[in-house]
Amino acid sequence: MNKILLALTILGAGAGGFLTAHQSTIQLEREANAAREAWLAQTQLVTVAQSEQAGLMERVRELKQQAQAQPPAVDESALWSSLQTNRADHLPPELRERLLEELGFNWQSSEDFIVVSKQALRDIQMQAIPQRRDGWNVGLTDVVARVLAMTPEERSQVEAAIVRVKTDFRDWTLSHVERHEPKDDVVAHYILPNYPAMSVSNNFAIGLFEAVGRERAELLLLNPQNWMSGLGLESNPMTHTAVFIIKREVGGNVQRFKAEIQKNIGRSSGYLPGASFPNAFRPLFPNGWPDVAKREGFELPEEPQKK
Amino acid sequence: MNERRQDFELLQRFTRHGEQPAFADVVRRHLDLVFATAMRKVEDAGVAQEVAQNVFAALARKAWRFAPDDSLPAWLHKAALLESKSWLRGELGRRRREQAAAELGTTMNTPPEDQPAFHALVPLLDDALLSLREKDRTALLLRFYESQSLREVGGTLGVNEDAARKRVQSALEKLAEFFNRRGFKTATVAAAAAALQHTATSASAALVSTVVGAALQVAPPALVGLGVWLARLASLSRVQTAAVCVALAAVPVGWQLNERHAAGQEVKRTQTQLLAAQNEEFALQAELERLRAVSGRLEQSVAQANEAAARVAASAQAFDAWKKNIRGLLTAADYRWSDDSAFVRIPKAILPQLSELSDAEPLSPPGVVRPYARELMGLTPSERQSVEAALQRHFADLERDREAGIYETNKPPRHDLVLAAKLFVAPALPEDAVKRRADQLLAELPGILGEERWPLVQVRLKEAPGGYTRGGNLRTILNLDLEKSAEHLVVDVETYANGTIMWECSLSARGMSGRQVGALSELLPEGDPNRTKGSADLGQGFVSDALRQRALAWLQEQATARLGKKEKP
Repeated sequence: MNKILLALTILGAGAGGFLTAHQSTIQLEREANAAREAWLAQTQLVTVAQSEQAGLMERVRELKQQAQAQPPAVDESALWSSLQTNRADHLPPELRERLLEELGFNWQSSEDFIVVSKQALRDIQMQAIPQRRDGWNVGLTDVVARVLAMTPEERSQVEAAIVRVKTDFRDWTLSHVERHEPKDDVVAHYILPNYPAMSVSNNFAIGLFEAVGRERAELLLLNPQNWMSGLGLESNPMTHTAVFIIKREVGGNVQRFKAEIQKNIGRSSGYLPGASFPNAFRPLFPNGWPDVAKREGFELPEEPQKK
Repeated sequence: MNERRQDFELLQRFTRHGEQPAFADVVRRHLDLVFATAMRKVEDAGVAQEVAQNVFAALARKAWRFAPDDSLPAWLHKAALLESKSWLRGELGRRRREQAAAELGTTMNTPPEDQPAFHALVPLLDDALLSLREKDRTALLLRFYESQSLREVGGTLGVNEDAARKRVQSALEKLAEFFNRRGFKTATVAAAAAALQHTATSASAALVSTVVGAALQVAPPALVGLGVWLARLASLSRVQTAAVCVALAAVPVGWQLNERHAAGQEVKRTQTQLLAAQNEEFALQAELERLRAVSGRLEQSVAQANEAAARVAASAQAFDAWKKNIRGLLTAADYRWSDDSAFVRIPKAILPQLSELSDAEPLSPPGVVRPYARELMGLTPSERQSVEAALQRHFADLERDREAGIYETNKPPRHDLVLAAKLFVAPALPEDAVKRRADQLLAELPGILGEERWPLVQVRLKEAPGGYTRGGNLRTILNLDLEKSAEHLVVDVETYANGTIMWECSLSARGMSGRQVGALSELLPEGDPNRTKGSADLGQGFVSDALRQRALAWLQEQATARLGKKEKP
């Protein structure tokens, strides 16, 4: 009996141990299965990630190739951008020269003509309406007409504008000049009060604008001291009044005529015939001092001989 | 071989091989014990025989259960008692028991005078034996009922003779003690031994064959197959049984533990793999993030580059269209001035006349071709470089010639406040030197510009024909003509009324004269604490650089000597 109990006890204990171990084994197997499933799932994730990685690497490689294959930005676009933001004639000289190169213009590109920027034409400071040595004689030269590519009609209109402004100013001068009778040593005294230099020049500019447009009119008017002086106007628009007085100076057997010239607040003097003639009086005395001497009846000294 | 082992082997032979003689040997060895025990209970030889038959029949049925260390005498004694009690429970037994009780009630605790003392112990003898431990009981049964010597008893019990004697003595003492506890004051070891000896009864030889025959009739056949194994199992000792059971239990448990270990290993391995996979996935995710970022940047970059390329292409297209349009305007047979174009075309034939009408000069010191002139002459970069290099050489040569002739002399002070005065003179260049430089330049420039473009410069070098006036004078700018007068620069240092030390210079050159004044402290070296801000540009543009530098050097010496390293004036 004891033996059976012993056997049962041992076997029972064994069975208990077996069951415990079995349960533990089952539990571990479940854990192993769960871990295996998780590992399988993780492996699938890894596979997916690897696949995605391969795809991305391929994509990156393609993109790098595309990036490398991109043509470098050319300077031409920079030049064009500059043109978009600035007018070509307002570009710095170097960019203007590059533009000319882009356009294919240089000294060799044509036998007949050279292409330059309008800014270069301004920088030349061309005397578009030049003044002759004799002063009162301005006009448009063939050279200027060709440089500004004037049509015959345009040239006629410009020349008409020049004539018109000269005529208008002469008419105004003749009607407004004041003459004082000679007295004592004063042999001539003329006053031209408040002459309309500004309005005359404005009218002239308007006439030129209408004839050849703004750009060429500006080029024609670029050197106002020349053309205004040539027209008989003073270039300083602030000048309103012009006066000249000629006085006789006698020293022994020699008599001299001294011209005192006043242009508004400015004063100057000189001896005839070398003294500068005030152009405001040109409409009245086209030939200057000789016409004054003839009008007032005194004898103009001769010009000294040049050595 | 001891008695116990012998009993076991006999029973084995009987149960495994059906050897009846072996069983008969067992009966023969223990019949006296069984018969005597039964006789003590039933007090009838016939009944005792029947009981003995039943006990051995039971032994025959259960023989397969015996283990080597089981005590067969003890089992037989107990079985005989049980069988006897069973029989006594019958009616006859009841009557006899009542009679005996009546008799006992009169003799209890006090044996009759005419009977020996051990007689009173006999009825309780078996109970006393049963109260002993199995080994003690077996020792007494073998010694007294199977009449074995102490040596044989020791052999059965697995001890020597002396130990057997001691065990028998001890068992007898325990019996006596049992009886004493039951009120038999006269019960001693000797009385107990006497009771045992007195109750030992030998069965007849005929009874042996009768009992064997009756027992074998109810005995099962020899065990085979599972029975053998069960019998063998039953026949194992407790240690063996325990060992077998442990072995039996250990195998599945071990197998299960192994399975568990394997599962554990699998869990560990799988978890390790899982961890590795997680780490790999983590690393991959990080790499993916990086690649996505790189890809995003590259895509953006490529998109931007594409957009830029598209813009560039569009710009190039627009630029081409613009160039085509401008070229068309400028190269048209019926060319007209266009406000849309920033360029104009000028007939080459009138370029010299245009140059005559200009108020600007195409060249300027120290060697620059003005931008408008570059365009008007259509100079390439190399042509421009050549022209400018020639001009720079020309001006440098002239400056060197002029510098070589410079001299200085002290000048008497104009008044008391003048501290020092100096006259610097750059004499007019010798005629042959001027002519040599001019001829060199005028030979070099036509070669670079060519006969078509040279007239554009040439007309600026001579008085304009036709009575036109011209603002500039290129001959003067280029120093092509002999200078009639020297350059003079008078410099003095004087103290003004407020104490300030000033420099003053009077200059005359090329018919022009002028005067300049400045603080002497402006001419102190860089870093001097007394230096004041200002630029001493004396004579700049009026006299040659060489003359200016000589005068400036003298003034700087004066400044350092008079104002340097003193407190700020």
